[in-house]
Amino acid sequence: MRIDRVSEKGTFDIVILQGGKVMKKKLVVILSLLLMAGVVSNAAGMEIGVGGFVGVNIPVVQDDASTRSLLGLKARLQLIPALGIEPFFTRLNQGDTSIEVGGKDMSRDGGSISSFGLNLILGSMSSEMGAHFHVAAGIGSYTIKREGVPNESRLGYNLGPGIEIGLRHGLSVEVSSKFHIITLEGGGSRKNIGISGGINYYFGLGTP
Amino acid sequence: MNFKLRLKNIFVGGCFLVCLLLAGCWDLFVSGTFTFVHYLEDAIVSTDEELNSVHVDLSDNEDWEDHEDDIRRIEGIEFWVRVTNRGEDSASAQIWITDDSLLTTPEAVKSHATMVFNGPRIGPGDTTEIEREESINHIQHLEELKAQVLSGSFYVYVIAKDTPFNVEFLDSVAFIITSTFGK
Repeated sequence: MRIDRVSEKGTFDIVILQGGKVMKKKLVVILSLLLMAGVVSNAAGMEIGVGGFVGVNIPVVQDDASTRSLLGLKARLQLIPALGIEPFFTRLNQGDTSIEVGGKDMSRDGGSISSFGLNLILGSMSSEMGAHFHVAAGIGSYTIKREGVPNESRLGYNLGPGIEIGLRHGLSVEVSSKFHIITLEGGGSRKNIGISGGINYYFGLGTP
Repeated sequence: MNFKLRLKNIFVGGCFLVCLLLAGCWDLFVSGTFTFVHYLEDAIVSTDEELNSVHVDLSDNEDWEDHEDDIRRIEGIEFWVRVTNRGEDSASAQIWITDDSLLTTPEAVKSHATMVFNGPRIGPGDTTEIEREESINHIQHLEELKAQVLSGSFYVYVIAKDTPFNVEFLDSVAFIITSTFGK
């Protein structure tokens, strides 16, 4: 991984060389900036955390996609008690589907949906011992990818509850579900339910 | 304002925003995608001297008809084809589509239609089958194909890349169509 250049918009483009393919990932820089913000927020007495999660992605009313996995990263900044923000990156993998054609079952790649955006967190979030409940609602850019079809980036929303259980030393485990709605050009939407579990680590342990 | 009251206000405000979102975006919730197969029932035989077209009218398809008024867009199209090269030279069979049913020569097809499938080269006398997943590699002008399918009616022509040709698409041409519907 190397920093390639600074774009005209003032953000860094990071180029990740992976299997001969070059993929630009601005997200890494965004997360880095959030970490820096965390240092500042810590000084101001706010909590900031980062986390990763994996789980199951369940497409809803979609003949061309089936249940598969999901994974993602997020950062979390508590602004005031019971209110925080959460930048996220999520990859929703979609399983293959098949249909009978001419007496044979013929399958089709389900593709994937990559998204990044910002959630608002209402409720409790912390690494403090005990259970903390919250509801997340947010907006993001969702890119639908499928073999043989041009990528399509669309606006999407997500909403869902979560429970976080604080452990020790800034660590917590979290289980959450999200209902993703991805708008489509021409009308309608794709809907996916994500159920995930993950680990969070909080840097700032000051009292907000 | 104490902590509990502030928490309550935030929760109520959040619920209010969610209700507004649900009310304003109801269309987003009552939509989905469906996939169906549309077969061309007749074989298509074409030579460089005699062309046949086949009319595709999706309103004849029950699955399409069930959703016809609610279809918003076409998500994807794949093919299943079995094609025989009846000529004496190898040939690459192609599928072209158009609104025009009166094309009679390969040149007219190339001028007035859109190529949507460019098949592999087939030796003389050979038959090849291209299944759904493989057909993706042979599809051309996908956006034009989607638009034509969304219209529900069009004509299919079969020709070959080089002349002279004599190709037959057996009674096994299928369009596998995925659409988004919404109320």
